[in-house]
Amino acid sequence: MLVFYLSMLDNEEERQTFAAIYEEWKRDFLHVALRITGNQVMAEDAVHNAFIAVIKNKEKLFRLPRCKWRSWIVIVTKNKAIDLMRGEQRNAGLPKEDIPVEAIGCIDISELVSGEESYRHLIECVSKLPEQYRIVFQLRYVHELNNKEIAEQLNISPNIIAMQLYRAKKVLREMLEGDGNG
Amino acid sequence: MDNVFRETVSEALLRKAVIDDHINELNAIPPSDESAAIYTFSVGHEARMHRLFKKERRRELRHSFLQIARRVAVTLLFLCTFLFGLLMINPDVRAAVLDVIIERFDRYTQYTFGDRVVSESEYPEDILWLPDYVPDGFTKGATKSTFFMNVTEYENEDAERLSFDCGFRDAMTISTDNEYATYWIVNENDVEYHVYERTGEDNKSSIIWTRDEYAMKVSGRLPIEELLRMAQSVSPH
Repeated sequence: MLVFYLSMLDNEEERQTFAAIYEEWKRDFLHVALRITGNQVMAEDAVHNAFIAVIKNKEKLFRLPRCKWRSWIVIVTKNKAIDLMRGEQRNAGLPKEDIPVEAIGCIDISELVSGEESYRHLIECVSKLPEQYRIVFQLRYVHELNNKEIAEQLNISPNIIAMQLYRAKKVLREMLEGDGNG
Repeated sequence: MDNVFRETVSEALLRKAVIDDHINELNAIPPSDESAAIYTFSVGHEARMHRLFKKERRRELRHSFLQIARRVAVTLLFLCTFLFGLLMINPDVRAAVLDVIIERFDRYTQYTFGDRVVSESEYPEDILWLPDYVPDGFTKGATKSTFFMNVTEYENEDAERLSFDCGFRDAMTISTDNEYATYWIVNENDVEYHVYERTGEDNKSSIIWTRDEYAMKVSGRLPIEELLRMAQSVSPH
């Protein structure tokens, strides 16, 4: 019986943790959701859905250091906002060409970035990527997830993640080349 | 080697750029005092979020309860299995369990008209009961006799067999398969025929009845009408 009461106590703490996270950062999440949806109702839905997803996988959140919690929930919120937008605009956005997984190789950008100015330009190009690509990059490089973990988080297959990473790098390189850095 | 080096440098550059971009993205979010003036939430949304946190607590309680209940159930199951195993080691317990199983099996597959021990002097006159009607193609084979029962077999060219059992009712138990059969009763000339018509191709149909001091059974894979006709034609010879 004692074990049962202790488990209740842990959950009460978790409940308060989530409530505190929400109260502290809810406007930040609304801001990023609004930037994608442009619509208050949809943005609120995205925030709500993001918290559902975070609570369902709260072990992932609690494994991160506290300083990364905001970043994590921002990325989840952006993803939920994109999902809602996809529901409104079916098949819009990303190119649909199929690349066989075996053909996915490395895209080299190192030759296009040689100094501080070109590095700043690289950051600018990353910020201009389609949001879905940016999310995959952030999960890979900011939160250091592998393809399988990213796929679980975004609810798609690891093959599609590999393809999106490849395409994102390809688009990035084209943006860098197109601006005369190549 | 050159390719690996370029790939490593490329990945490192990309990682740094993505991290820096993300930091810029987070820094671009207005600070809380500014965003409080810009952004508001609808009443419906706040209520929904409040319900979400409450529902999460109830969900966690349910989850905890189910986990504990599962553990208790597994422990009880293990204990019961262990105790049952211990009991079955005892030969008296084992014998009692087997008796119950056999009795139940017997109850639903056997007709026990009588089980008293009878002496030979009590047997009725030595009359041989046989069916007058035998289905086409079947010929009578030998009749096997024990001291209280006769079994007569009939066979056709395809080696298909019919069997007619007849015995002293007070000393006889007749078995039939009632698991793969449909059961009903036919009343004809004050005789009650218990009909077990097979439901599977591999099984036999049976008809069981009593006449005078005798219990009888006919069984085979023919249509039930043929067997019933055969049963109703039985007479003393």
